[in-house]
Amino acid sequence: MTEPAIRATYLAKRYGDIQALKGVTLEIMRGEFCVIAGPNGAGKTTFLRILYGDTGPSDGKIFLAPPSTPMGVMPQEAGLYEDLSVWEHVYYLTLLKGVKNCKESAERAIGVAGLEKVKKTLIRDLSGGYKRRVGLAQALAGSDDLLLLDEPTSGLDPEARKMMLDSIKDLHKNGATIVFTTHYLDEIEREVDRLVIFNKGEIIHNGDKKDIMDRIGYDYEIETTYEEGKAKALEGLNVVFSVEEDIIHLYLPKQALTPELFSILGQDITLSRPSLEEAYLKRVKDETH
Amino acid sequence: MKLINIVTIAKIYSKWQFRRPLTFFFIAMFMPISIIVPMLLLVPQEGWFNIIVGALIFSVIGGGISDVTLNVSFDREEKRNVFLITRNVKPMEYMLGILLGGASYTFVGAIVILLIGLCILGLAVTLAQILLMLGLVVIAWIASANLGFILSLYGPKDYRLSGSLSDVLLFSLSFLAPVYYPIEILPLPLRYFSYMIYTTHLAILGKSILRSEPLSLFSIAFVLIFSLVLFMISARGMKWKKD
Repeated sequence: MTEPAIRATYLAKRYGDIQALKGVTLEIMRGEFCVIAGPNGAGKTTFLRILYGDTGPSDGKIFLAPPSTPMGVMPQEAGLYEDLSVWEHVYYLTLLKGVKNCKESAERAIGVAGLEKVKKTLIRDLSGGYKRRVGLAQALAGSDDLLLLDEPTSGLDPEARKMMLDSIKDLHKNGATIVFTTHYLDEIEREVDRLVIFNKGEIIHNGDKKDIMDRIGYDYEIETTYEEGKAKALEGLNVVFSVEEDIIHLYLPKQALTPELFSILGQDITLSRPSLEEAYLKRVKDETH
Repeated sequence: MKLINIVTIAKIYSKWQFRRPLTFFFIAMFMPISIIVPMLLLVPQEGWFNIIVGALIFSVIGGGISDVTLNVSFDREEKRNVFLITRNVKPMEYMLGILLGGASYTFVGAIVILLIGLCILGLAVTLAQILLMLGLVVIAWIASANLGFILSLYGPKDYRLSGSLSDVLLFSLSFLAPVYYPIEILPLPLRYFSYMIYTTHLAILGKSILRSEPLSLFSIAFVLIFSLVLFMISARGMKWKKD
């Protein structure tokens, strides 16, 4: 992961009066699994659209290292060719990539996306989940180096989402650079090399997973039923806590987990570590306020 | 430009006829033939030439204008061009692919109508006449398809509205212009106006070919120049949209 696969410098995009991107600078390294998160309208899709050439920037520069195979793109909204079968759709779009061994590439992509059973089915007869898988298959057929996936798991049921994520993880393990936008950070928490958070057209966070987890300011969250005595004893311990609907929430650094604390709380506790999604939400909230 | 891209796009846009055979049958054959039948019943036999040539032109330009308008407008609305942009397909390859894809089934309809017409008229035609008629069909197709491109590129963004406009254009060019009837029955001022419409010239040429009459050089020149100009306008406007 030494060479950049993508380098964006002061990238800006205006749609009339709306400033969708405000001077975004970002470098994504080869082989990296880069997750781009952010609220709706944050500029994620615009950034990806500029990367794959669907729209030009109003300002700034973009550099894409020449991959050995064409980049694979899974757009968020593009409709499919409904009168084609799954095989035809993937195969024809692979042919247009101009890669060698189109048939093998299309077959492999259909297999990876779990579409073998519906290969001959017409797109118009598929469920929404299967259509998303066709979207993934057309992206990765003949594209092993760089994949730009715009919310690939949106609208999928848990089973289909897991299947799609497993396919994407396998591609990453085989060396592909993945740029993945999502609203669901929990699902890709383990794989993330880098998390980039967009908000209002700007990057508000760009770092590895540890960076953002460190920023959340606590290592563990404990929930326990509210009792007046407990609350008073906790005040004496000088720990951060809040009370909501008869539940005490404690946000603690690792060193605060002492026997004294547990003796106050008793056995009625739920202990958890903050998730990446919580860290992300806190980061966006901090930025908004 | 890559031939494989043009052919692949043509395949993508022509598959529907196999997947929706009834729709294909209705558009390519039933609609033009259903217009022939009442007309043949109402019009005296000496006017049948006009009806057959009119149905042929209606079928070809219908396929051209409506099909191309709907394909391009629907692609824009569904944002399907992203697939082509990310594969470095050139706009001209897309345009030629759609032309080729649409031609394959429009010509089937045109040939069926021509054969039916020849049987009804009881005409024995020469190979030269058949080749000339096919040439006319190709030119009619190119001009009409390019009208479809222009309508979808510069017309409304909503594909339903574009589709409706293409139907208005199709019926105006086929029924208001002297296609199903001879130009001579129009009053003189309207006749001059009709000479500015390309379907008038297509009809004049079609009827002359079937009657083995000399072809009007003015009509040939008009149709060729009109087709070329439309092609150039649509080729110039056919760009991947970079908003």
